[in-house]
Amino acid sequence: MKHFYLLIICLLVSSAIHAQPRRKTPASYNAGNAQDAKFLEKQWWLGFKAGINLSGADVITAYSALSPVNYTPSGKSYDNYSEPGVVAGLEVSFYYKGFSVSFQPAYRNAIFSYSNQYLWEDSGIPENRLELTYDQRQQLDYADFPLLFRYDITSTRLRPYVQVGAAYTVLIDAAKSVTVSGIDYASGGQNEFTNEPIIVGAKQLFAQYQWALTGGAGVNYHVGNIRVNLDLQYRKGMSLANSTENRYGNAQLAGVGDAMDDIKINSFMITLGTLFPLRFLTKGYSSINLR
Amino acid sequence: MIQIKTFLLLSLMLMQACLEETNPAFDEKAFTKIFDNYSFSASYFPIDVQQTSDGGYLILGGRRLTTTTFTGIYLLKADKFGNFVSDEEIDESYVNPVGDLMKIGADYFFLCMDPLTLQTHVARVDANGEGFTATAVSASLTYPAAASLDGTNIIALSYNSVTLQSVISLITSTGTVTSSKGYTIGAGEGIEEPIINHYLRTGRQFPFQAGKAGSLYYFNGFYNYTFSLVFTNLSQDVPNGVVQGQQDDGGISALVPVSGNSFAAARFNFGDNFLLPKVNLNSSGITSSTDLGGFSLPELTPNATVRIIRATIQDQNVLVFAANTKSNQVGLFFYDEATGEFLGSRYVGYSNPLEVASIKQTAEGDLIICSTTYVAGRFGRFCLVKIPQSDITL
Repeated sequence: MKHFYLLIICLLVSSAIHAQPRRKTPASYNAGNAQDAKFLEKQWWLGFKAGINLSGADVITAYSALSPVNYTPSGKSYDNYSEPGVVAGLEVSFYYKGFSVSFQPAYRNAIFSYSNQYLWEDSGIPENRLELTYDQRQQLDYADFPLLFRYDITSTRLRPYVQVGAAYTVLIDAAKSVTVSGIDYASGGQNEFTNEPIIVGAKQLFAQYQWALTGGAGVNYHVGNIRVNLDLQYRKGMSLANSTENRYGNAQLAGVGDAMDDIKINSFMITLGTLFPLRFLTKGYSSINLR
Repeated sequence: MIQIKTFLLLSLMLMQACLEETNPAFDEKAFTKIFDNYSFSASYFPIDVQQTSDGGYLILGGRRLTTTTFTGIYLLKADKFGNFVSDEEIDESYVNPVGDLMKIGADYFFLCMDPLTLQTHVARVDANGEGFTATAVSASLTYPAAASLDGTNIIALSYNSVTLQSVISLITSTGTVTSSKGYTIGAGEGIEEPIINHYLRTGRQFPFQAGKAGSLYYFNGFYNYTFSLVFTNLSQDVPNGVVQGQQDDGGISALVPVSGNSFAAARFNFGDNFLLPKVNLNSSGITSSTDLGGFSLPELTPNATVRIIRATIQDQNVLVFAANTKSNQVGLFFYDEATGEFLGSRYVGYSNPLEVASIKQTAEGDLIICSTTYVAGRFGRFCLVKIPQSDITL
């Protein structure tokens, strides 16, 4: 499967490279303003971008390894969009008359947390009471392959744009940590404690592949022949981010009552990048046509 | 152009096929469920589990009582996904639930005891664990210790504290004792103490067992000062055969007849444990369990609880040994039924301790393990772990 995605990337990159022989010779670039304008209707951009993302989970179906017999479970309390992860990758864009098609393969580190709370007590015996909180933190490493369609709102040096698209995501690795803390009233006082976290590799608990819809906006600022890019995207998960087959696949986590819900992961991403034009050769030539 | 379109279409189909979707079949195939009760002082331990005709699970267990030192009766019904459906705490008029949980007709049977008269009762519930009835058996049988199914009859092992005898009986589902034979545990008060402590759960839990191998019945219990495996035809005053242990420090910890004199067994000896996936036991005469050898497994707890079932996994007839380990897991050990060859192992549980109570193969061929877990390291609760057949590596 990995080879298949590599093939897709290679095809897209090679299509960009194949576009090069069709460009005009340097002599024709400066032949005249009309020809320049015609030439600059198209442009290939290649660059790097990095930033942060904030992730959250939409619960589709809730699950738990703990099946209460005489109380209603409180359910998991998700702490969404609270902990930043990094995102870094490439951007390959083809520009044509204000519209762009952009392929942005990237590494993304998504983090989200949830907690469960439990209480055991005996009515009338206040010292028979134990409160426990299980804080569960998921850290997921993804390779994203988004394809975006972008429209430049202006053709000025500072060009804001809007964009929509879709992304296919491959899971690289995943880790989960569970920290149990609580208050034990049965040990002679109000004994507050926090146990050492259980940290486990949890790749089998998450979906190997996902897809998402993406929308966003950003701005390109042209400095000389390069672009400085500030990009904001919201990614809406469209398929499950957890493994339905291996929900109880980690004995350590199932042993403390944890089972992954069916969730879809959404993300906000903000990146800063630099893009280089591929369709120009001479030093004095502009990569864009400023109207 | 058509080729590109075809390529893109195939790519999209392939990408779609790799996505995860909610799948109830997976939820049914494998799960870990802990049945929790918010009561701080409540404590439960399972005894046996049966898959019911609706695909769910009925669990027989015990519960801590505040008014008596005997254990109460607790039944729990889970659905095919392992989710809690209902439970029944049987009132304290009946105590000391004893497995196996046996299906006769559409109902499920087990033995229990009147806490005042100590008389054995045949208890019956429906597949939802409801409609509890208890019928006193027709003869004086006190302290039920073990039971298993023989057709539609129950083979029961009990203890008579007046005559100091281990008693093996055949009982119908309506409580009629059709046959019964007692064998002395030996004279003196000292020999009885560990037995009573077993019932009060203040001492070691002995692996009492009763069953049938060929034409003979057997029980694993106290006989003539030792914890012994006793073969009997239920008519002779002297057992047909005895596999002696070492007083209460050695003996058989689990037994499954395979064919003829061939058994799958486990034994304990002064804390050590030995698995015997293929052992010939002499059902006549007197032999000693210490001479049986076996595979020593130092990872098991001293005098470990062991359960053995015959199963068919991946078209192979196997023996599955489930035993408690020192790392608080349940160890599963797979052996070829025909040769006794070791095939593989698997360990279940990790964070909270697990203690095996019962292991069964479901109608779909998967394994269901019923055990006690200690939620938050302290609250004894039922735990049900289902392992798909396909996940077992032989």
